[in-house]
Amino acid sequence: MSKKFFLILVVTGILSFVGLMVGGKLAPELPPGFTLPPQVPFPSGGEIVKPLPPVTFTAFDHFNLRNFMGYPLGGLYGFAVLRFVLTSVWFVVAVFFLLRYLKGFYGSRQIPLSWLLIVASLIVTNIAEIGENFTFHEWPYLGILEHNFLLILPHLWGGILMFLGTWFLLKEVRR
Amino acid sequence: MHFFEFHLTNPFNFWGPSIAQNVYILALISLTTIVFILAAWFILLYLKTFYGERAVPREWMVFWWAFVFFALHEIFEVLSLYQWIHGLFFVFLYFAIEIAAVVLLTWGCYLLVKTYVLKR
Repeated sequence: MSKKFFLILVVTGILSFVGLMVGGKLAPELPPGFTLPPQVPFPSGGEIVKPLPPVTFTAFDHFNLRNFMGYPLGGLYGFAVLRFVLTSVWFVVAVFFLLRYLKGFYGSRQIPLSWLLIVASLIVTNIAEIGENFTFHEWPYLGILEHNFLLILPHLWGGILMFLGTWFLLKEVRR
Repeated sequence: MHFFEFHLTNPFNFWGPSIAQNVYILALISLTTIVFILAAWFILLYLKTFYGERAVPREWMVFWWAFVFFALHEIFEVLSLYQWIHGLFFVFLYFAIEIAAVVLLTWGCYLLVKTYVLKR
């Protein structure tokens, strides 16, 4: 694998991390004695459920596939389960197939930078999709881990890698 | 949750009282969405440049369309996150687009292996 690939991976990762940390620095101080409500009741409908400040490391105890953005999903629960399974498991299967294709197609030749970046972007985006599942099904509670490090950071990082991978791909074909 | 809901949520006070933080988060989310959209656009340009008038093979068509669906998913994600669109219909659409993207991606990758590795 090329040094350029690792350099891009590290630089974009650091940039995304710095971006996340700057956002954290801009967050206002919580009022003294602030505590999260133990449970937020479902609104009757037509209301916006705003997120609560992320004060706990995780909010996994509020994770429920039957809820979405603070509302009960009702009949869409089965669909939510399907989405959860597909985004968490099938993504890994897709990356496995893609790696197999690249290994079989390129053999001993070097895999182009564009393809390495596309594979890396899919792996990072997979983490973001898992984080997205947690955040939306824990809403309005936001855990620091899942909201920042499983959703925002990998989303931005994966997006930048996908952008660069496809840009290099276009550049290679136009050469 | 109603079937359709549209809200005029203010993105500058959504995450808390700090305007700087809200502007920053909106910028970060917008940047993420824009890079995914640009990636999808580059792919469409790539297909046009590489294949020209020729027909795009099925395996590549399926694989690259997954990326277009991912871009669409990102757009829906921002709209859903700020709850500008809400309701059962949009939640269904949001799930369906993401499921379609993942299924297309996996199917496309499988077809690539089948066509270029297993059949050789």
